[in-house]
Amino acid sequence: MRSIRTYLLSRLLGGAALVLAGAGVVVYLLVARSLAAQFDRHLADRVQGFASIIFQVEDQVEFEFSDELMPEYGAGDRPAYFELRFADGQLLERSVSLGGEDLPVPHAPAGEAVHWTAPLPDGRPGRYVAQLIEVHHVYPEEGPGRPTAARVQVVVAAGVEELLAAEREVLASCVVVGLVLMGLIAFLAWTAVARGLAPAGRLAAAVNALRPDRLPAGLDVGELPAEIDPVARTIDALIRRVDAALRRERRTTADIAHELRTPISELLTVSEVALRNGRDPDGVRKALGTIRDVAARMGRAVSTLLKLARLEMGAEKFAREDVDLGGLVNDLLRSLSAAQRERGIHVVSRVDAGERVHGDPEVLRIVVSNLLSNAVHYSPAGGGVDCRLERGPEGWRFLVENRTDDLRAEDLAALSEPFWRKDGARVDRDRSGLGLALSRALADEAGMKLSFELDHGTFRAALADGVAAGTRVIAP
Amino acid sequence: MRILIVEDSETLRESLRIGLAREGFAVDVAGDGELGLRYARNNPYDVLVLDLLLPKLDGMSLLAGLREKADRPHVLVLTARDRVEDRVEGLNAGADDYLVKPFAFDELLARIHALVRRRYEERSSAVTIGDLVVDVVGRRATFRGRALDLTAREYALLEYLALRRGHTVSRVDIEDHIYGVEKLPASNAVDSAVCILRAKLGPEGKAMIRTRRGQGYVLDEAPA
Repeated sequence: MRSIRTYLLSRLLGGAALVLAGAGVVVYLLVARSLAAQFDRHLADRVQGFASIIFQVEDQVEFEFSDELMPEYGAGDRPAYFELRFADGQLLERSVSLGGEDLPVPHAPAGEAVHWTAPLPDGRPGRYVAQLIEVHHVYPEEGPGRPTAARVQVVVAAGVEELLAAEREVLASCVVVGLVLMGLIAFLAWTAVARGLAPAGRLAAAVNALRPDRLPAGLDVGELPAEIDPVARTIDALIRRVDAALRRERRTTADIAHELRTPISELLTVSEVALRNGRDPDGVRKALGTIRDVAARMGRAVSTLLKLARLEMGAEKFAREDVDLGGLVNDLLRSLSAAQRERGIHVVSRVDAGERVHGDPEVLRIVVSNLLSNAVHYSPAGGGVDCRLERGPEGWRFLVENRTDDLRAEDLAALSEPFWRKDGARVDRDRSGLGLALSRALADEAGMKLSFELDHGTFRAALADGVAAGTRVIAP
Repeated sequence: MRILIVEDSETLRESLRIGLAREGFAVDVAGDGELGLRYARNNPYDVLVLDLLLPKLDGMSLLAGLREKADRPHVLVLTARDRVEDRVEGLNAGADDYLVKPFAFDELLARIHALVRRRYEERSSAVTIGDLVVDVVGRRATFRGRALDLTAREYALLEYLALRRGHTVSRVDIEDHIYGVEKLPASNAVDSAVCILRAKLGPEGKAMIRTRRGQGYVLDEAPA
C-alpha cells in the first residue's frame, strides 16, 4: 500500500460509485416499470371506454363512436389506433387512423387484457392492448328468449414517445443525481480522510522536525486518536532510548577527549622540557622512558576503547566451556600480591583450586581480574577483600567483597561507565577508568551478568552465569 | 619566584617541576588537593599552578580554601576542562588565569611570568633600576650594558630583589621565594648568594644591594 489516503479514497469512492450506480439502476427500472404499468393501465382504461360505448340491442350490436369525442384516433400527426372485431373475426369498427388496414394481433384475445410492444402501423414505437369483452346487453328481459350477448375483441394501440421520453428523463435524473451524490461523497470522503489522517501527518511532521542534538522528552503532537496514539507512544519510547544512547555517546566522546588531554599534556611537557635542556643525556633518556610509558598507557586505553566499540557492534564471538575459576583467581591474586603488600590489603579467597564454571575463558579472565584489582586498589588501606563462588539453581555466582569509605548508592549505576571516578580524579595513572565498563560489556555480550551491591558499607561485585541480578542497594 | 604545582598526574607534575626549576623557579609539587591546600596555606607562593580534577579535594574547593589567606598567590588553573562555563567558573572562583590541556610549555612559562609581573605590579617585561636591567622574560640581567653571568638561583635572587626594589626584603622572604620546601637552604645561603651577586655586579654595582642590619636587603639605585 503506497498511500493510506489513496487506498481509502479509492475504496470509498469506488464503493460509493458502485452503490450509487446500483441504486440508480434499481430506481430507474422501478420508475420505468411504474410508468409502463401506468401507460398500460391507461390503455386498459381505453379498452373499458370502448366497452362502455358498445351496446347490443337484441341481436344487433351498436357502437356509439364519435370522432369529435376521441380525436386521437383520427388521421392526425401521431394518432392512436383501435380495432373492434367480433369473436368470429368479423370487423365491427376500426379507427380512421388505420386507414382501412388491420391491426396486427399476435395473441388470441382473452378476458384479461393482454399488453405487448410493437411498432405502430405508422412505424412509431407503440404499445398494444387487446381484450375480449362481453357487449353490454340492453335486452330488458331475462329468460330463455334473451339473445346471447356478443363478444368483441378490442385492440387499442398508442405511441409510446411520451413514455420513452419520461423514461429517458428518469434515466437522466438518476445520472445527474448520481453524479451530484458522487461529488458530495467524494468531498465528504476527502475531508474525512484528510481529517482522519491529519494526526498521522502531525506525527510525521513532528518526527521530521526532530534534531539528533536536541531530542525532546516526547513528541508534541497534541491529542491523538486511539489508533495512532500507540504509534506515538512507541516513537516517544524510541526517542528516549535514542536520546539516552546519544547522550551516552556524547558523554563517552567528551570523556575520551578529556582523558586524552592529560596524557597528551604529559607527552608535550616531558618532551618540551627535555628539549629545552638537551645537553643533559640522563634527563633526555629519562624523558624518553616517560614518553614510552605514557604512550603505552594511551595505547592500552585506545585498545580497550576499540574493544568496547567492537562489543557494542556485536562483532565479538564468545566460547562456552569449563574454566578453572579457582586456578584463575589464584593466578590473578599472585599477580596482585605486590599491590596487596603495598596497601596492606588482606585477601581471602574461598574459591578452591579446581572449582570450574561455564563461560568464556578470556571474558572470565578480564572480568575477574578487574574485580580483584579494583578491590585491592580501592579498598581502604589495611582492609580486607573476600572472594567466593556460590552455586544455586540459577547457576554459579562469583562474588568479590570489600569495605568502602566513599561509595554511595547513587554511584553504583555509574560504576561501569567509561572513565567514571568517584572523586573525578585519578590517583593511579595506570588505571584507565575503563576496566568496569569493559567488564560489564564483556559480561553482557558473553551471556553473563555483572552487578554491584552496597550493603552497610560493604561493596559487593557479583559475576553470575546469565542470572538476572541487577544493581541493588540493600541499605545505605 | 616560588611556584606550587598541584596536579594529580605524576608524570606531568614531575615534568613541570623539572622544567620550571630549570627556569629558576623554586617549585613545590602536590599530587592531591588536600596536600596542595596545606602547602598553599603555609608557604608564600608567588604562583599556584592548579589542576581542577584532583583526588581528596578538587581544585575549586582548594581555591575556596585560599580565599581567607593573606598574600594569596596568583592562581593559574591548568585543566582538561575546556568549556566556556568551566573557564568562567574557574575565573569567578578566584583563578587569575586559565590554561587548557594540552598546552605548550612555553605558553605556560609566559603566563607564569605574566602572573609574577602582575603580582609585583610590574607592567614591563624588563625591570630597570639605574644601570641595572633585569629582563624577566629572557631571564637575563645587564649592568651598564654588560651581561651578568648568573646561575639560576642567583638570577632568581636578583629578580626577586628587583621586583621589590626599594623595599627591604628579609632573609626569610628570600628563602621562601627562591627555595622550595624540599630544598631548605643552609643558614647562610642567602648571605652567600647576595655576596656573590654583589661581586658579579662589580665595584660600581655592588652598592645597589644594601644590607639593613637585622632586617634584610634592599635593591635600589646606587647612592651618588
